[in-house]
Amino acid sequence: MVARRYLLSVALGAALWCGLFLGFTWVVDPYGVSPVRLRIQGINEFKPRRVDIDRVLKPYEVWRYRPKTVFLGTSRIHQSLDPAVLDGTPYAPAYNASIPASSLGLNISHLQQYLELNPQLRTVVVELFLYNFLGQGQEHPPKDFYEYLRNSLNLFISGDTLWAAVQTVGHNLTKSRPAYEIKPGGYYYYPPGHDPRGSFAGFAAGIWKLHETRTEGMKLHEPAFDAVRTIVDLCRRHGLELIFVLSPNHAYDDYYIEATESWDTVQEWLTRLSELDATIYSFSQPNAWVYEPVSERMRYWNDPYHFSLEMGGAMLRTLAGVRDRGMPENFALRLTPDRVASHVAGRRAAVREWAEANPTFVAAFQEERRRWEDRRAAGPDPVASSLAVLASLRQALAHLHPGPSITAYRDVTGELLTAKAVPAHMTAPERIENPWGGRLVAQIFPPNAWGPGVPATHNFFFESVPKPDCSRLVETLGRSGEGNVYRINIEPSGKIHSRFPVSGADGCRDGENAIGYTVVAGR
Amino acid sequence: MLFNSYVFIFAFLPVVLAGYAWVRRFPERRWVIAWLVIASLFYYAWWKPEFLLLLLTSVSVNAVFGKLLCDGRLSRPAARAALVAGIVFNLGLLGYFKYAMFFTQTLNELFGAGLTVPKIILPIGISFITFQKIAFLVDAHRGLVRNFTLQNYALFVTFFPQLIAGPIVHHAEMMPQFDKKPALHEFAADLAVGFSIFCVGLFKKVVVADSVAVYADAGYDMLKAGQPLDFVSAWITVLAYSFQLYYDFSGYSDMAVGLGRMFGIKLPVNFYSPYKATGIIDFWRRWHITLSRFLRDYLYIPLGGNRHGALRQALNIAVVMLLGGLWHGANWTFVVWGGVHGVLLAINHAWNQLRLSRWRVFGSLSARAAFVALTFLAVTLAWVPFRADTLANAGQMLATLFPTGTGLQEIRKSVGHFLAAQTAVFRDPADFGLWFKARELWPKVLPPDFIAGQRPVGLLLAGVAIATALLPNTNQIFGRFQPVLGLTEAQLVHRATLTELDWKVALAVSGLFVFSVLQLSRVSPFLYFQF
Repeated sequence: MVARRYLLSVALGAALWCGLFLGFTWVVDPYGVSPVRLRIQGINEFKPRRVDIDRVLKPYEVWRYRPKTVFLGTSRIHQSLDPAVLDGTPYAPAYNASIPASSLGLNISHLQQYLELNPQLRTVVVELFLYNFLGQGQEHPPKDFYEYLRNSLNLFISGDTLWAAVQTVGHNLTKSRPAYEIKPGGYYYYPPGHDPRGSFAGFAAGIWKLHETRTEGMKLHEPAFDAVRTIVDLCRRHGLELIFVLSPNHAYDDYYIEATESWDTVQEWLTRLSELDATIYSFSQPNAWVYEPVSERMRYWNDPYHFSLEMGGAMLRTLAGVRDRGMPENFALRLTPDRVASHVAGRRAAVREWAEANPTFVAAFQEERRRWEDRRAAGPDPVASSLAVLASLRQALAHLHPGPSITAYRDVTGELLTAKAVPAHMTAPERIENPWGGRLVAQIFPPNAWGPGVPATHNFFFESVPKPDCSRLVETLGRSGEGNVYRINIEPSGKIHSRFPVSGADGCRDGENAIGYTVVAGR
Repeated sequence: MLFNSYVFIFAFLPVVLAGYAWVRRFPERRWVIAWLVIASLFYYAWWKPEFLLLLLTSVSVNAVFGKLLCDGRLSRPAARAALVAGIVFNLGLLGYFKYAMFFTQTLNELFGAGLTVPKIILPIGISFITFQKIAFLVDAHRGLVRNFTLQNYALFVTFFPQLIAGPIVHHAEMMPQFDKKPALHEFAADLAVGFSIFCVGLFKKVVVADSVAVYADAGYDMLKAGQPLDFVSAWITVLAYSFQLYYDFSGYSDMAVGLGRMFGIKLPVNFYSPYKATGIIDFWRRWHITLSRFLRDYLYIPLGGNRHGALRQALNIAVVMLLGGLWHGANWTFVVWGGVHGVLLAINHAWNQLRLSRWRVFGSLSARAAFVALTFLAVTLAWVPFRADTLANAGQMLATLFPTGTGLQEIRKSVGHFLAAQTAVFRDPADFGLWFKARELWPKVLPPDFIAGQRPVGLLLAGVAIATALLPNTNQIFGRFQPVLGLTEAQLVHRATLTELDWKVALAVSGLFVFSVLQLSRVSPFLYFQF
């Protein structure tokens, strides 16, 4: 029998469930978008799920908060500019709308979208980052309103929201400590206790790996300048104040420019930018803050590329006309065509001076450079190199793990095995059979998997190598000179915290999670 | 337009229901039929409008053949010729769209024929409606079809709840319903029962099947990419796929049954707890029942069935299952799957012939439980070639599932890793933060034991397995409301059968609906590597 008002009961039941769902998710507010805005200690104080969703979140918050000022840029802006610093200034309210890894083209797309969503927008602060001008794609397809609507609704009404709410409560009940998250102003927050040394230690190896992807060297790319001109034009047409920001460059990166003899490129880049009809502030002058020495707790840098909220706060205050106590004299510079040459000369001289004072870094850097040059000289030969690497690996591991005990490098850290936008089935077409029948991951990424012109790359990963074994492994592999051994730190969340090379047997430490072995074809 | 989409649930279905509620008040039934045909054609055209012409042509041609065969004016040879022509027409369409590329590729591989065919898009639902149309023609030839109208025939073929994924309906159970004019008050009752069944199906599909699909897809993607899987990850993959397929198809069938009921039409039973089967024969009486019925009535029995001895029966079973396998997809993997089931059926028949099988001990509860487990295991392993892209991949998966030599030493480590990951939350509650990590945030290339380390895959599979084993099926839950055709009273009754659709049921049904709809949308994480 069907009760008389059964269908009505179903409708009321659906309304009740929706109400319970909305009540729970709005109170817990895992994405920080709830209209209720309750903050309950032990329940929703920290929001670990408000992360990695910038593309979804930021258009919605620009619409919702109607900021007068927005910041656009890459992860450098993302990690450093807290818009609350501008409270009480004519720029307030401001919002950090940057998106990690975004190109200038993507900034155009978002700016167009923000202009449609927020008629109160008056000022746009846009990051100028040298590496955005070196061959990156600058497409800027217009943002679809339907996509915006769907994304925004999903933040409120979706199964993911429910799970995120449950996880948020779980995190607050069990951990009750700050998490990596996007703060209400749109900036990325590092929990206290961050130790940047690992990322600085891995800089030399990392930058030369990156250098291999720059097949055209440090050549400026015209579409990036077109994108900048489009941004200038867009702002002019909408009557917006536009401020370009040259973000700080740590000595490590300035030394890379020095070592690759790219100061002329920097000068050309800055000259062309300064000739634009736009305001440009440079914060990359060498000083005590920008060249802060590496230590366990750094005040101005999260890693060699990302400066801290402290640095970002000073930058914003400078833009607002406020000068911090103790701020270096040359902290900010209004860049004009006539100042470019002296600016570049100053950086060049400073980094040379810095290099003389930091011979350990320079030695490690040059060693990585030598390896890169060797790799380049050898040229790509995937088959020969994979066989050589395999033979070397077998020899090295035979002492350490007799029999089929080699295991795969595992868990989420496997993202090290990921190539940009390359489908999984393309990354291992030539997978090497493991001679031990165990679970060693041995892969060859095909040529171009990491970018145009990059030769095939080989990766071998295995887990939890004890310190004595690690030392012997490094010695053996080091002698073969066929690749790099990395120590990899993994955060409790499973994310890779840092990856840096082990240059000698004494570089291994107890307590490291895993060790990986990577070689680029030709070595 | 899938049943589990916003556009279907919140746009198409309400509009069609509203139209139905209006036209059903008209004195003539043909308005209802016309409305449902229009709605069904619109539903089909939503996918690719150009294929609507194909569907209409096919329906028209079959209707002509049907008329010729029904009116009895053809001579016996002419009628036979008309039947053969009709079957050739239908199989020709199916063969061209579904199998042309497969056969060409096979010929090229075997003989280096160098044949080429253009890329052919498979019209959705063609496999299902081809069988319906053939059954209709055969029965018309047998004199089992009374006269029919084009409208009724069109609805029989195109009725949208069963159009793209079955059940494979039979004219004898559908056509009479089209002519029956239900009382006005029945609409509300049908809508209530139909919507409730639809919600159960939606939940099965969107929540259960799609949740376990993450792991099944990941494992088979790894296999396709040539990446190794460890022991437990391989088992998780095949078990997850087994449950995914079950809940996907069962959920879709429930939705079809529910939708049909909303329009006052009962569809035949297609699923009846197949993973509770105590043998392969029993399994095929519970899994995709309408397909089994078609193959039995229109292939197995005409081939001779069991009338010519055990050997001939086994041969007939083999032919039926191989063709049944090929019907599922144009790939040798499906043929092998059908062949495996053919062998299993033959073994089951042979076992039933043994006097041993009738010993009392085999009727005990524990023995039946063991038979259920064994059947489930056999069916699950048979899904491996069904799901794998190639036979080589299937072989590789089976080799991982049953390691030999040095692989045996890996089992302990693999199981240890799995258990450690699944129980981590009990040692450190903060591990909960790693649960339900979005697939987009997984690494693109997965290490061999990645799937075994995912949380909460162990808990999820255990929960789904327990629910599958212990809960009544949808037909039993709604047994008193005669949800489907083809079940006996005994099959419809269960201690959990609802006696009334009251407010408590409404609360549960609405909960399933809301939760399922929520699962349709996702907060897509930011993918750094996409830039």
